[in-house]
Amino acid sequence: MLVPLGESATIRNAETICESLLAAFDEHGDVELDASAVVEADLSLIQLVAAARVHAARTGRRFALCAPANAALEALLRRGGFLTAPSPADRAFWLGEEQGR
Amino acid sequence: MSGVGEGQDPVAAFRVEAADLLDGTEQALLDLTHDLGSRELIDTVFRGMHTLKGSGAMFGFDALAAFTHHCETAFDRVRKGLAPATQELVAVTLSAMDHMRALVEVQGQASGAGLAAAGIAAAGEAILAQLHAAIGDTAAPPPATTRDAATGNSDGGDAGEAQGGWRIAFRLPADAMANGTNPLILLDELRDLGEAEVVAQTGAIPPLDVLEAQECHLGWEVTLRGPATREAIEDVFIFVMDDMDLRLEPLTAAAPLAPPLPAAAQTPAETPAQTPADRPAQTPAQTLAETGPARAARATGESVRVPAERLDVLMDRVGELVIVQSRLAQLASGGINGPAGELALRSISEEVERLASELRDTTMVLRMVPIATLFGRFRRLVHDLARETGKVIELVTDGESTEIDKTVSERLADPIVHLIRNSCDHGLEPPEERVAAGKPAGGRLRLAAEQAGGEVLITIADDGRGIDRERVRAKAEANGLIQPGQVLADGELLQLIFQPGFSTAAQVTNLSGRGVGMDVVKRTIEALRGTIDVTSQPGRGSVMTLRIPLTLAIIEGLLVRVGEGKYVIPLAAVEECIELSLEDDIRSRGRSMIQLREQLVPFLRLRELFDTGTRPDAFQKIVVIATGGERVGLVVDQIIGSHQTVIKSMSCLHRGIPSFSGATILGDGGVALILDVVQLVALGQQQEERLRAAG
Repeated sequence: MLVPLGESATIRNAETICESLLAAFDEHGDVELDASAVVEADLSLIQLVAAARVHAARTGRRFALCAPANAALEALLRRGGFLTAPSPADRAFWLGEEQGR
Repeated sequence: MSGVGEGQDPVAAFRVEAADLLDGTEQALLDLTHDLGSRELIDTVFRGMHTLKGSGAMFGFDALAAFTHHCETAFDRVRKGLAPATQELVAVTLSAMDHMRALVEVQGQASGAGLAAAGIAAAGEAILAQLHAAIGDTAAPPPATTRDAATGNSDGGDAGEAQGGWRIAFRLPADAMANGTNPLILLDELRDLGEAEVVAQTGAIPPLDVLEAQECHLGWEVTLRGPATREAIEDVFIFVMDDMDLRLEPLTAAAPLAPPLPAAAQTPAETPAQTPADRPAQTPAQTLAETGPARAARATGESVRVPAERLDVLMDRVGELVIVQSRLAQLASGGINGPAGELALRSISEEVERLASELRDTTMVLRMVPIATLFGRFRRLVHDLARETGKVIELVTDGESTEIDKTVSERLADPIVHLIRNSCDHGLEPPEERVAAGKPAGGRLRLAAEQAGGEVLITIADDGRGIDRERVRAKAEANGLIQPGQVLADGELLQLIFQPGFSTAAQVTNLSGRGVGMDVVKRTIEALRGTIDVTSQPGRGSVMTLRIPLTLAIIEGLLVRVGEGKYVIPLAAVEECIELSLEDDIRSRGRSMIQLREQLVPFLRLRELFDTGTRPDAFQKIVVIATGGERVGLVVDQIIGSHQTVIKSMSCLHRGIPSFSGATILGDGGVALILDVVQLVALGQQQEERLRAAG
């Protein structure tokens, strides 16, 4: 199931996003997150997505971004130090790059 | 997802927060003028600047954050002993506070180019130049250099410096983000200290189903290269230091990686067993309290801080009301059968009456704020006035815990500013004149508040030269306010200063304006249903006393009928009621004046003003109302009697209609409009002037 985010994904609506993702996992199993419209985001979103990845791995579901992180999200990831030394899985997840061998 | 956050404007919330921060910091600065060596005050100013800078950047107020950074750096130098705290520094920082206020206001209203066009940027640069001069730092170095220079000499001990740099591992308290700390800002500040490599640690993030979305489970490892000191790094975390995990290790070529910090929260391996119910009970509640309603309230332009215990009392009353309501619903569904049912109904009615009364009192108290918030603003004013006039002025405040309705408090600010300006400009003498008169060189201005029954008494007293009665008389005679040589009681003579256009200042200064003001002060106070009195002793000073009702929510009113509509006239403005006989009514057509104890008083026929389309009653009444010494009669059809009036504000559609200041609901459920006395008196006076002009 595709879960779309609006322009703003910050701590102010983090709980709502969390509930939407959980509901999507419960109802549909696999979840894709559409963060392409996000203009304003903070670290609560990055943390939510990371938690969703942990959740999906534990429950055997698939969780992915439907498109690589847009400019706003990538800037946030770089500023927060998430892309300084990313694992291949992180690069693949956030930037859509193929995992190295 | 768009539902969350709707109605909460973070920018508006920041403005409220910034105003509080600026006010608090300004108070500390003003205190600093009396105690330049106070480490505590210097720290307070530094922390205020630091928070303002951080919050400003977080909410996109970049110009504010950049400007504030320089002030923060200046006080950082002062607290590290690299620059002295001087009166010049305090003065320029106070100017900088004004500039910060302007930046808070302007942000969002204009683009960066607009800011520059408005001259704000230029003004900021001028202030910064003065600031750097005041701390002996004429080069105005960039942020990182400033901090390095500041920290280079700090303690000089081995523990404080690591020439190669630092390996920093930190993890913030779980509630840090919910409390407004933005980890990105902290990372930026670390980057300001030198070349930084930032790596986020996500290993402690729990699975989604046990995640509290507003908690922070992230950690960071930062390799910072450069000469930054331990103190400079710790300063970055100054506001979260108490509850966070922070490890610092000097960076050496062979230094191994710092071991990862234990997760502040649970590790992923532990999380499945822990459900939200297992979490400490206070965490979600705290988070909700600090980010939900509290933030929502701050986000509105009009906000008021209410002590929690007052809300508890309110909740108790509401709880009781809910219980009574369910009793009533039970009674209604079962039917009122016999005397027992009637008794139960009467009991419920009495209970509702008691609760309504208690709720009214409790809710009224919610709007009350200590007058200290109002008085606090005047310290800066007096400080600035003293500098402008070259006088030495000591401000003494008293009764700051006295509480007053928030709206009243806000509307009192301007009149009191004017009264203080008058005292400083006209009342208090220059030091040499005071010394010559045998007084201390420094003047004293006392601002006091006390509650007396349903009123608050505010006094503004100075120990200056007092009001010059001869000059008042001469001016009043020159303006035709009194006849030459007219005998007046002392109080009446002093009241003349509240007449429009009256000024006794031989030399007009930019402080007290041009004689406009005291009449406006009086009118504003009267619009608050208050009064203003003045007493003065030659050579010893003047005292202005304002009597203000505690609240504007309930007034004593006179209920009248005009046509078929009912209206309330605030009783405080009513002077007397007289009958308008049919003959007088006919005789005064076209002139609309009555003779009242040898004075002509204009009157308004409300029936015609409100276009009721009804015929006048046979025995109409004139209610004479007064404000600011001006009187006007209001012709009504019937005087019903006094009425305890709960004021309801008009809807936005009707708010602009002159003649009405609000509405109230009568016992029978009907609506009565409340007449705006000030407007009606002005209308009456205009009518009189028109008639005079027409001859």
